[in-house]
Order: sequence, then C-alpha cells, then structure tokens
Amino acid sequence: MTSELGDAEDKYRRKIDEEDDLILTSVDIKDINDGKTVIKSIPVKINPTISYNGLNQEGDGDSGDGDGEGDKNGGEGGDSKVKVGVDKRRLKQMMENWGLSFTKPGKKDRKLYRLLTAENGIDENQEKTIEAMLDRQMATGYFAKNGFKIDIRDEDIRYNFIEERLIPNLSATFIIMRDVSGSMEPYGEFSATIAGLIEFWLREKYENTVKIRYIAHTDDAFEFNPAKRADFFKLVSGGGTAFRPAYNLVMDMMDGKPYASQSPYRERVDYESEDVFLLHITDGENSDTGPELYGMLKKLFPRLTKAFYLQIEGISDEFYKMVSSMGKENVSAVKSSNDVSYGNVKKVLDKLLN
Amino acid sequence: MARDSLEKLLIDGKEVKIKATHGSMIDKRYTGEAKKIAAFMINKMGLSFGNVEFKILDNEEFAEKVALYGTPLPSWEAGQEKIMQEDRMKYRQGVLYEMVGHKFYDPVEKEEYTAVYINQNDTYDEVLSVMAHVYGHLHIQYNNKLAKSIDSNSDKHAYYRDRYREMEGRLDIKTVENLYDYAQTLSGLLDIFPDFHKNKKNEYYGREKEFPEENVYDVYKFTLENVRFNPWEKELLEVVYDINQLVKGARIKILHEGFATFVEDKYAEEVAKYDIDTAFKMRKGILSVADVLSPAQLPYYLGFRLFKDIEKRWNEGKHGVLYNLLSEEQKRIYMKRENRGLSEILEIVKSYTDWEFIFSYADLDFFKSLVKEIEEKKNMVIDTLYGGKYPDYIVEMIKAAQNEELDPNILRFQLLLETENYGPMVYVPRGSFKGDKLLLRQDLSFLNRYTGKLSDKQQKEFEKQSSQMFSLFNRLTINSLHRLSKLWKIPVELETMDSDGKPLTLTSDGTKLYKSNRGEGPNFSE
Repeated sequence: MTSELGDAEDKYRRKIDEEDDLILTSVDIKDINDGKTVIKSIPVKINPTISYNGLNQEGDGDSGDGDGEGDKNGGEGGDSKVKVGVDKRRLKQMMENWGLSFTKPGKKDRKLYRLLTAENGIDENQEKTIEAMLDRQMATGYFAKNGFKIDIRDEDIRYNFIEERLIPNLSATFIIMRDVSGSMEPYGEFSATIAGLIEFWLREKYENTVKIRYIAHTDDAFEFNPAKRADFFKLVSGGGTAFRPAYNLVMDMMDGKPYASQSPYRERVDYESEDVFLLHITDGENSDTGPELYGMLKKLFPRLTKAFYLQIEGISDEFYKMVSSMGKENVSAVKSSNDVSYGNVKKVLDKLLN
Repeated sequence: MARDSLEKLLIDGKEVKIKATHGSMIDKRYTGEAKKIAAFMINKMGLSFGNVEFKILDNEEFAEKVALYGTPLPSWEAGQEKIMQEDRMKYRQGVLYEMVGHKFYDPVEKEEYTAVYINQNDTYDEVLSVMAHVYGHLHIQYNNKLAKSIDSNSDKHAYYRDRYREMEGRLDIKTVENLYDYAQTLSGLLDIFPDFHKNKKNEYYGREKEFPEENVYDVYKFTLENVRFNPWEKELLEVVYDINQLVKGARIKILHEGFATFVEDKYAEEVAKYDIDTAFKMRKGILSVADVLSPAQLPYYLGFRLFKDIEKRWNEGKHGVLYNLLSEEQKRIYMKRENRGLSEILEIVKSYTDWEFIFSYADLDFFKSLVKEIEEKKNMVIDTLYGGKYPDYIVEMIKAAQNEELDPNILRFQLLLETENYGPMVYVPRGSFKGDKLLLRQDLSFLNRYTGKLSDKQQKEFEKQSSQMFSLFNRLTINSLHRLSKLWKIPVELETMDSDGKPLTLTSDGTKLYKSNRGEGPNFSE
C-alpha cells in the first residue's frame, strides 16, 4: 500500500520524544529488550489557538516559555489519549527521558559528556556511538543482565560525516538616501535610474528578499513612506544641506533609537543578521564637515555590506575626497554628470558595483 | 437485481453513475445496493447529486484518508491524527463509518466522481445505512449555498503536499514544522463569518489616513500582508491559509449530519416494508448515533430531532403566525393536512447555515419536547446501552430555559458552540496599528443579531451570562498570544474580559504575559 502521508507518523513520534511525554517503566524496558513492542498511551498534542474556555482553565500570569502544550478538552472521554508503540529502534530517544541527554550537556550527564569528548575529539558522533554500544550490549545479552550502563569500546565509536548546506534565507536591506535640496531638482531622473538598477541587481542577488528604506535629507533628515515610493525622486525641499543628520538617522535606525519618520513601519535595520546596502545620492554640497562626521562614518561603514556614494555634477568635492581617502574596501564613491545615456549609466554602475 | 442495473438513474435528464469499488475491482453486490438506494433517494425523496464512487477501505487506509482530510500537509499533526484514527477503529470506539471525500476525474469513464470512503469492517446492514446517509451529505454538498462555495480541490492539496516535502528537504524538518505550528495557531483567527461584516458604510471623505482603514476580521490575512516573511515562509503560510478555507464547512455541521441521518431514517422506513430484519438493524444503528446526547454527537442529535420536528409540524400545518396565537390546548388538537414537511426541509437545506437553522426553527416547544424525551429515556432499561453519556449540564441548561432562568438565545448559542468550536471572533480595530504593537479586540457584536431588542435589565443579565461563556482568558489563548508576538516581532495585545464580565487586557511580548484592567473589553455594539 502506498502511503500518502509519508513520514508524518515518524515526525509525531519524534515530537513525543522531544517533549518527554512518554515514560517507560523498568518492565517496559525489559519487554523491549525481549523484542516486544510496548504500547503506551500519551496525551494528545494540540496547537493552541485563541479560544473560549480553552482547557476550562484560567491562565496564570507567568507561564514562562511560550509553546506550552496541553491535553485536549476532556469532554470526549477516552479521546484525549493516543496509543503509540515503542520498540528497540527508539530506545535511544527513551534514554533521553531518563535524563541521559547527549545532545544537550546538562548537570546529570556532564561526566559522560566529558568522558566521550576528551579522548576522541569533536568529530565523534555521540548519539550513534551510544546506539552502537547498545546494539552490542543487547546482542551479547549484557543489557538484559545489567541494565543500562555506559561501556564504550573502540569498535563502538562512530564519526560525524560533515555535510555542507546552503543557507537560502539570507535577506538584505537597501537604504536609498537622497539629498532633496533645491539644487538636486534636475537630477531626479538620473538618480531614479541608478537607484532602480541597483535595486534590480540586489533583487536578483537575494531572491527578492530585499527590504527598501528611503531617507530624504536637507539639513534635516527623515524616513520617507515606502508606500509613496513613486514620489521619492520628485521630492524638493528648501534650506541648506548637511550630511551629518542623514548618517545620524541611519545609525539610529540600526541602534533601535527613535527617529523622524513618515513611514508606518518602525523596523530596526538588523545589520548583524542581514546584509545592508546604502546608496547616497547628492550634489556634494555639505555645510557640516567636522571631525564628528568623520568619526560617525568610521563607525557606520563596518556595519554595511556595501556603501555607494554618487555625486552628480559636483558643487564641492570635499566629501567625495574624504570618503575616497578612508580607503575602505566596501565603500565606492563615484562622480558623474547628469547624463542618462546608456554609456554613462553603464560607466557609473561599473564603478559603483565593482 | 439485473433489472435494476439496466435502469438508468436520471436527475434533471442527466444520467448519474454510481459504483462501489474494492481497490481497483468493482464490487457488484454493493454497487447494486447503492443504485437501489440512490433510486429511492432521487425518485421518492427528491434529492440530487452527481456521480459517486464508494471506495471500500481497510482500517489503515481509512485512517490515512481521514488524517489527510483533516490536515492535508504531512506534518506531525497528520501523523497524530492517523494514529488516533487507527486506534479508534482497532477497538471500535467512536467509529467513523464513512467519509465524503474530494471530487476526482475518472479517465476511463471520462466523468467526474465524488469519492466516498467506507470502512470494510462495517457489517452489511451498516454499509446500507451508511450509503443512505451519504446521499444526504451529497445532496447538501451539491445544493447548499455555503457548501458550494467551499473549494476543495484534491489536486491542489496534492501539490501543496509536494511543496511541503520539498521545503523540508531544502531547509530542515524542524524549521518547517515550527512555522507550520505557528500557522495552525493563526488558523484560529480566520474570518469564517465574512457575511457578518459586509454591510459597512464607506466614508469617502472627511477621514484622516489611518491603518487599517476598516476593522480587519481576517487576522491571518492581515498578518500575511503586513509582516515581512521569507519567500518560503510566505508560501507555507499561504498554503495553510488556503487549506483552512475548508473550515467554513463547520458552519453547516448540524444541517449536514441532521439531514443525512433524517434521510437514512427515511430509507430504513422504506426497507421495513419488505425486510423487517434489516430495517430493525438499521434503525438500531441510527439510534446508536443520533440518540446519544454527548458533545461529539450533538450535531446528529439536534439535527435529527429538529428535522423530524419540522417534518411533523409542516405535515400537520402546525406553523405560522396564526398557529402561534392559539392556546396550549388548542395547539394540541390543531390539525391541518398540508404534507409540506419534505419540501420545507429541502428548502432549508438549500440556503441555511446552522446559526439560521437553530435560531429560526428550534423554539421553546422543541426544547420542551426534548426535556420530556430525556426524562422518559432516563428511566428506561434501553438507556443502559448508552448509559452515563447524558451530560447533565446540557439537560440542566434546557430546563433552566424552560423555567425562564436562562435566555433561550443563550441556550441556542451554547448548543451551537458545543457542536463545533466556531472560534472566537477577534479583529484589528480601525486605525489601531502604528507599527509598535498589534492590538486585537474580541468581537461579540454578533450576539445582537439574534436577540433582538432587549430592555436594559435584560441586556445586563444577557451580558453577564455571555461573559461566562465568551471569556478568552485561558492557557491556550496565552500560548497563542506568545506565538503571535514571536511571528510579528512586536508585542501583541488582546482586549477581552474576565469571567465576571470586566474588561481585561492581555499583553504578550513573546515570552511573558502582562494583565491589566485598562482597555475597553470586547465589542458588544454593532
């Protein structure tokens, strides 16, 4: 008979073992050792949902760990238990219920843990070793006579087979930071083109798990609402221009501090667990080039996977020179004219991305 | 028998094919019986349905089908369900006699069939009974408004299973199972009463931008749209969301089981004309299912009684405004041969759901007759067969309603909730989401739909009584809140009430729970 359910039963049995629901008596162990399958009943597991009078029990305020499981509502009599068979194959997992856990070194089994690792190094697979030891003990009748006792010989030792695995769920944040002062008004189309192409490049690279954050700045910075992304490159505002508030905002986003925002989302930029890319588009005009900015950039750049600095039709090259002179590998700075032709865009992208 | 098989079964001029199979072989005896029963159902009862294939399975196969129907993905829950079902069948406890499965396309016959699974360990009379029962279910599946709207495509589910296994292979079983568990918790927050929330006025202007723009009742969907997930996480959650649309079927459980049992009973009456022995066994089987007043059997019990009651009343003309004006004595002798019982029932089955059914047909007279019947049964010897299975609290509730201590509407709610856990209604209030926390509020406004206008004193009593039933403060809810909070990565707040009816706000930050009395409690007004 073909089984459409596959290994669902096995998964369920594993879950029982993990949560210590199945308790074996010494009689059971003897029966298992004789080759019999022992039938035990255990409570039914349910995934909690928000419900009226669930379990007919008032909750207690400090139920510490989140996913506590419980019996099914007692209304249906015998239905709240399920019978499962236990055989020799699963004895190893049963042993964990007796407090002999090998995967997590605890107080009880520290001695055993050290005994196993000190001589044989880390490549040894403890679970399989114990399994092999048990097999030998059972075959020779040692187990039936003396019960469970640790006695590992050279022939029992099994080694780990190292397997390489791809981690597919890497994600990225792309921060687009744009100078929105009056002098930037003619460069909207060019900025949008470059930002769009980098975004496209990132989406290819990260399988569409790219979050995009927009920051607009003059001498004051705020996060722009991503729902209105179409308007971002048309934004124009009066006032002077300074870079420090903008970079300050990025730092605040990373540190989880409050910051000015028009977006409904307040999510921390998690630079520790995901890749962060920053694109800064400006015309180079910067009224605030103190040592504070330099210090801040020194702190910020190591957190970024890559920082792009794009200066269009420069008014002043001061910041461009500063960034270039820092000599960071993950920072690329480019100067360009306001030219949306294929040749120019390709030149700028080549410089930025390589 | 041979003559029977030559006759064609016709519904609206279209032929209906019926067969019973044992593996890949056609079972001639059961096929003949099934056709005979179908002929009775179509020609005398006026039912209609499509092609049917009765598949006769052994315990393990049957348990697997049940598990796959309940939890179509091969998760640990499906494994548990399979072991449980096998257990029950092995010891013949709480036996499942049949299961109506998905529609499938038969490439040989080039026709669409509905698969019906029958346990091969059933006796011959049981199988006949079950077939009659199944035609009742099929009629509802093909004709009921709600049942028709539920899309259960078996190919789609097979594809989901494949994808699920692929995810497990690529990622890790534990990771995928963990998210599946979270999805199951979210499944309690589906909107299974979408028609309750339709008639809201739209304001086109004069409102500031707020998020969400309307009250959101489908919290699962809201989560899908507003939390950033990895692609595989999003896919799995969407799959579970889609599968959970089947849950809507819970809203016609009493209709389903009641009508099927009613039809089965009718067939037993027919059989009694020529084979009293089989008929007696069938009748006994019906009673062993529909005569047990336990929460699990309540849909059968209530539905069967109610349909019987309706048939009698509409046959004798005991309904309508004028009839209700009569005195007790006059009602007793009133008689007007209308014979409209069956047509009334077919009308109900077409468009009603359980809520409408119970609230429009289970009146005080019906409850009165129930109490009388239970009292009589309790003193009879036959009761030892099902002894100890009468939950006293249900009887006491019905009695309290008789003595006007309990609002009859509350009784109806309670009975409905006993039959199936409809899940509480919880919603995200309009404009409440600012990104720092997720606010959920319990909704009890639907209570007003059925009670009509009450005086202040009655309203207070009503809210007090309902608060004892509808409080959400319990361990399952707390664990769910923890899970929700971990999914959203922000604190989750639930506005509900305690068992005294006072407002209570539960806040979870993923690991710890905080209680407070601020907040407004559940929403009572519509």
